[in-house]
Amino acid sequence: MAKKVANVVKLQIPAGKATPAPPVGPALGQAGINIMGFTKEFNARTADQAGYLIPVVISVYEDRSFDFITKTPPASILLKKAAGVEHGSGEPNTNKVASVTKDQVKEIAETKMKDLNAADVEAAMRMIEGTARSMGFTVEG
Amino acid sequence: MEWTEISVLTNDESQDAVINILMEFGSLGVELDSRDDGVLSINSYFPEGFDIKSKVPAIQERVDQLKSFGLNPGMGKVVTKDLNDDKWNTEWEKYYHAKRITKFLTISPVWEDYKKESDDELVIKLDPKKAFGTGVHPTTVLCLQAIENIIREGQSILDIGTGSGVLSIGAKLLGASDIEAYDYDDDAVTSAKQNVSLNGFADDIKVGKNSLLDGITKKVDIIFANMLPEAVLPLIPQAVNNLNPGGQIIISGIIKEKLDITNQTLKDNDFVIDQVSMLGDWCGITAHLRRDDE
Repeated sequence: MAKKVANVVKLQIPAGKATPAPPVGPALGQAGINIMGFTKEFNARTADQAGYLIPVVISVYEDRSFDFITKTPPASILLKKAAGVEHGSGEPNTNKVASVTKDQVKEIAETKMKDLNAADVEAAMRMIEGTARSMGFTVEG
Repeated sequence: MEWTEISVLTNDESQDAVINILMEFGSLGVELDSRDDGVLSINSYFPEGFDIKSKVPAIQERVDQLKSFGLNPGMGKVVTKDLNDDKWNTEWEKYYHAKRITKFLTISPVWEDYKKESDDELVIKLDPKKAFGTGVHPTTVLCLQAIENIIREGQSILDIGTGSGVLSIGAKLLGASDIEAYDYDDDAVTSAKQNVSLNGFADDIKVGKNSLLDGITKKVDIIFANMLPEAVLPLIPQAVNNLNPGGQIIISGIIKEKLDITNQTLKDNDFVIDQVSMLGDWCGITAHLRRDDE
């Protein structure tokens, strides 16, 4: 019989660098998971994606065993990689720090589509474009 | 230690933009809590001394701006809460009990008064600090099983990446005599020393800080390496110089995707693979240095 899920924990943490500090510690400790058991497993599975923030969904079972799946990095990280910048703008209204093309936005929308709560690629693109502008990026084309 | 939790109450549409704002303000990760009322609470954590509270108005301003970029931030509210790390460090302990790991070895948390079930049972007492495991992780189990299978009375050991010290304590219980355990992490060294003392082996197991086998010249019968491949792969060529003729290495911490490269690195360094064991996605490898007659 399938084990019963007691809790689902969603985190976004740096690939290969999970530590028992927050957000991992409080989220998993309170769910009854051995924190080190998770960090070791997560770091091993994501070591090849260093530099990315990785969304992870952890299913905690009634016996406090767990498993997890990782998802595509958030749009903000993909936008920074596409634009070749480390940071977004602290004043996105007035200080534009980078630009991305519509084609790049579309590519990111397609990559993210399976993890986004969007009706279609056009809706996903609007969300990605909004995220880009909120980071002080201009969207060209 | 005190932490400040900064939560932004928003929705799916603004999720990535809000996460970006929190990361730009110095968060090292976030938790996403989809509440029953449909609100998405994105929680970030900042250690004391970070002075994040003075930056809350600036975070709120950035969230308020999202509308002007074509995003609907939902409630768009920033909430602050103080958090103490006592609770989460101990909460999981109530689910952790003594467990028989191998034919002879049982691991028992320090707070449990565990009674042996048979005379030949060997009990490792562990105080699993927040960072160093309970000893029941598959990689530890694979290592302890391998140790139990191959170890002989009086053999000498180097335990690299010792963490909680569990493997050295197990080896001592199984008859090893000359044991040195190393880790590059100060907290691990402290944790290993405490666990070694807890089991009454403070005089038998030397615990110290070291990076892999750097600067260590002694030769032993068996090397333990329960670490991730990033540490194990550079350790393998070093290990050649720290093993007696025909000496063995027990490797764990290898996720199955990295088994081939680990096996190849062993072969390239004149090791002969004796056994590969698997538990879930994890692999344990036992190998020995090629003998002259092989």
